[in-house]
Amino acid sequence: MTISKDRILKIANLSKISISEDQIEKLEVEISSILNWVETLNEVDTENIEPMSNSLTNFLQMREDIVNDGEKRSDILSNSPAEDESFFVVPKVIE
Amino acid sequence: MIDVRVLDLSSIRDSLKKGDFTSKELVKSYIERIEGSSKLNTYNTTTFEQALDRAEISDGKIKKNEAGPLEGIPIGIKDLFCTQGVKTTASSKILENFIPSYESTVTENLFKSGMIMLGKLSNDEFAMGSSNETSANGAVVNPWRSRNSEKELVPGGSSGGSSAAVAASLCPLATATDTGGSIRQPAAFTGTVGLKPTYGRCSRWGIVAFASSLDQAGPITKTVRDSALALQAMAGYDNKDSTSANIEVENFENYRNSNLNGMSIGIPKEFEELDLSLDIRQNWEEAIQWYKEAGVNIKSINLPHCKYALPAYYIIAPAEASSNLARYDGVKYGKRVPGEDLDSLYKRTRAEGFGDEVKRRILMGTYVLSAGYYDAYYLKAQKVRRLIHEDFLEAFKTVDAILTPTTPTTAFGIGENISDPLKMYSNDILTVPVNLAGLPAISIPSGLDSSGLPMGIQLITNHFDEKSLFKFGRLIEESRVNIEMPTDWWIKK
Amino acid sequence: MSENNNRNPRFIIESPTGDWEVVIGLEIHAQITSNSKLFSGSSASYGGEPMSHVSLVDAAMPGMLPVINKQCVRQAVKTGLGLQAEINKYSVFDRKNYFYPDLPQGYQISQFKHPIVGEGIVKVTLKDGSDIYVRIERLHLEQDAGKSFHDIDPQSTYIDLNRSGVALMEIVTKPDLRSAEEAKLFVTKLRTILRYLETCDGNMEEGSLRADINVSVRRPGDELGTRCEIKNVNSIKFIGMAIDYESKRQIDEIESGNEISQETRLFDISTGKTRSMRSKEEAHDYRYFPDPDLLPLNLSQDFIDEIVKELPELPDDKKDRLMEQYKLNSYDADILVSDKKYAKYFEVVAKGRDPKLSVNWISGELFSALNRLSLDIDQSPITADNLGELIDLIIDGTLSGRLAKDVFEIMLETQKSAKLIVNEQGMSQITDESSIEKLVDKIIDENSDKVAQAKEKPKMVGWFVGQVIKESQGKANPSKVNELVLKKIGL
Ligand SMILES: [Mg+2]
Ligand SMILES: [Zn+2]
Repeated sequence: MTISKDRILKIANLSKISISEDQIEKLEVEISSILNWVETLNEVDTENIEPMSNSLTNFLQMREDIVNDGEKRSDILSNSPAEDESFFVVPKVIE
Repeated sequence: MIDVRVLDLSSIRDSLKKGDFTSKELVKSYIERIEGSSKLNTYNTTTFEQALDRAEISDGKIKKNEAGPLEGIPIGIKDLFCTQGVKTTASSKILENFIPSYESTVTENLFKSGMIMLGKLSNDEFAMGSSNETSANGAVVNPWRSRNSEKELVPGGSSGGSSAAVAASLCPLATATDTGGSIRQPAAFTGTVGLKPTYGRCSRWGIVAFASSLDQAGPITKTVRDSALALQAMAGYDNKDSTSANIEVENFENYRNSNLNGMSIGIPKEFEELDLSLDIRQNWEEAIQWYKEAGVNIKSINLPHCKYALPAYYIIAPAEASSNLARYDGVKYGKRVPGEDLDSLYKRTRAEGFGDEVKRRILMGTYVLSAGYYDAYYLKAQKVRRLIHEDFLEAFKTVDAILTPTTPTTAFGIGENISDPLKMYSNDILTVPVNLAGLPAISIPSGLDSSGLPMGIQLITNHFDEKSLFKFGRLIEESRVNIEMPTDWWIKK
Repeated sequence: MSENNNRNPRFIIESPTGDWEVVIGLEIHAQITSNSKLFSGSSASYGGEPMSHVSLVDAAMPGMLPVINKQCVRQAVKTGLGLQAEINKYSVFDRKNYFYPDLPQGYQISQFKHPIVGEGIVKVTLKDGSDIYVRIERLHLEQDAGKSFHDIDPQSTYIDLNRSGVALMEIVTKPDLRSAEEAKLFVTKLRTILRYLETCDGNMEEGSLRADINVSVRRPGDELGTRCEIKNVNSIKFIGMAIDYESKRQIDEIESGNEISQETRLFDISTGKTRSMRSKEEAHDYRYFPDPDLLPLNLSQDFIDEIVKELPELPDDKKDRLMEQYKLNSYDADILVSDKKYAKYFEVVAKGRDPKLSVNWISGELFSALNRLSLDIDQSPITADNLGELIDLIIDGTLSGRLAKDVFEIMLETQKSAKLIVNEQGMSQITDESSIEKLVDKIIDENSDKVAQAKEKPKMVGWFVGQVIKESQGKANPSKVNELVLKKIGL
């Protein structure tokens, strides 16, 4: 399995990472070789095998519905690269 | 000044209790040594002033008999653990100025037990790497060198700052994290003890996430005993982490001196077929012999799917990472590179903020989750993960522990593997299956190879059976040839 | 039943080119009523200063982890039960990955493959009294995003995270709706059910209930056409307007020989039109996968059974019971069950009294008064007991209908009981014949000229009756007055 330049551009766009032309070529080679390598998984018969997302076999513990957090405005904003009137500020988004 | 090279966690604990030296003297000694060791590039950030203040408080507590179990003992913290008021960068440019307002559960536990932070230790950027060369702060240098060589070697990764710091006696204990071998591999490369606890044993709250279903915090120490002491202080149920196991933390130190006679150890056949260096293979055989002599039954076992662990891991870990690292977008905290619109702000911030390895993994992870590829890659890997998990569960029906080398080779040169991702990934071939199965494992120094570099043996046990790791691990320390300290070649005089 | 829904076109748009049928499916985002957020302990309450109800988890600080709120899970199960849906004991939280500045994690925690609630059904009564059944496809739990403000600054978008992480239920219908009217009635009914269950306050102005509307058109009997999704419509009126506009737009497109492209659209309240969303142009690929920070949710039968025990009587059952117990007609019963507070009020008023008279007073005088005063029924100045007492005075003849209305107005103002007002102001009806006779005689004496006219035109009698009642300050019993006027004039 090799990956096309077009596909790399698509996933770079989904990942929101800009990549230059020469990076694309390098990534094409690298990712293709990784993909080739992971192909070996196809040797494994996984018919009727449930996927496993976590090694823990217990289930989710639930917390009580109590307000015991929040009201941390200064903590939330203290590392902000752009802030005004307690809002985060980004370039205008057009819907 | 105290010669901290000869100290370890438990001896420090005893000395502080006896009053052989004060915490302040001890902290000063470590500070002096760290200041002379800048060549190793282990610390991203140091917190010496705070440490000295804390040491005074600890000395007071020790005097008044109010000391915590590890009161007044210095510690280095991997720069992946958020520390309140202290810069936490994950060794990434994207978090270069990030100062958390909160303390990770594990560091909070350690500080509550009385420990004093000396600073934040370098790691591969976002814990992605096996050589600590991907840190935005540059490569960390292994205090070990081959005999008669001045070539600089990697300390392993991603917890390379932690392993190098402990090996160079720049702290008696360092926190680390292990997603695919990031505690055990660097421990093996630096002649230190690296413990990856069972997934769920230590809280992940406040640790910068790499791959959530695999990440686990653990200690790097000089001895097995110290490892038990450290785990004791780090572990515990945390209701802020939904994957934290609500299991009692036993007194691990008690398990070091048990009789091994009649117990059994499994040797996985499939691991014998791997491409291991001759020295490592011999060392493994030696270790088997030590256990035989102690009356342990050695059994050959099968872990038929473990050879697929590495490719499965390099699908699952990047997939989770691609999502975990989406929050670094230049909006709320961290680096922002302005753009003419939001999209270019995102893309520039992430292109400049992340290093090559991190970007490669994000792209890879995005790819395997994307429409049309999910089933073939991600789902397939998750199924293989179950088979690997089941292999281990099957094996633990007949053996108490599994014994393997930690790494296929000893430490390699800086720059040697960095341009070949697949070669770099193959470092983790013996450690990754353990993460996929969520098992505990420990790497213990087991000798030096023919060029004089440390080798590590890995012990793996069943879920939440860390006590058996300590029980079995002691024997390696007792049986191996004495490992000298690395020479202080890097020290600025 | 649902099969029938789909086979017989219920609503047809006629066009020179032939008939069209509109097919609508809804995805309703309902905010769960809870104290704290779905995965964090910060307040879920509406409003507040920017960034006040925000925890480190809601802001996706490095290393922060989600922990699920039990009450939100209970609310989802309760809602599922109220929609007669199957409850999935095993469900899984997935991450839906996309970049947006009001989505701090870069993903929304939602449920994709294994939602907490499966298929259910909602009965909707149409204006003509017939019922349709709208199938629910699923209900899942998910986090709300923060809020973007595009109008604070000309160059920038401002982000507030107070909503970030608030618990939502996404309720998805099958494409069973056929007109704007049906969609509006469905949402109204769903909102009523949610309010009965107290799982969502249904407050659309505050965004507690928002609809994504999937609209397509087809020739009756054809396969489903290509659909467009209209995002985030937050009033029932706008839902209707958006559907009407969008279905006409699609028909126009097809009739002009164009194809409908599947896209996300926005309803513009200022123009009443839908338009393509620019930011959503690029194809989305959400890369759903199980959230590795969360384990699967596994509900015990006990957990579910406890919620079953708490279920209130739901609108359909209540309607059936009211019709049966009080012999109400469907129309009146529908009015009363549209809000459980109405039904509750009614049942106090109607206790031991004429149910029809009770409904009429509630849906007539009371509702118009409350409407006039912008009050909710539970803020009514006239308690149900007091209204009941007023009705008693009508039934025992103390008050005429007209007097009762006057007393009602005084009750509204003073919050006093009907009896007290009648006693204080001497407002009871004059029924004794001699008192009325005096009044009648007086009016006839004063208007002898009109008596002659009345004999010619019997309609004039009404004028006399009116004068007598006026003279009595409204207290004279009208039928008695009528009787006597006829007698005295000699008709
Ligand atoms: Mg939707
Ligand atoms: Zn949704």
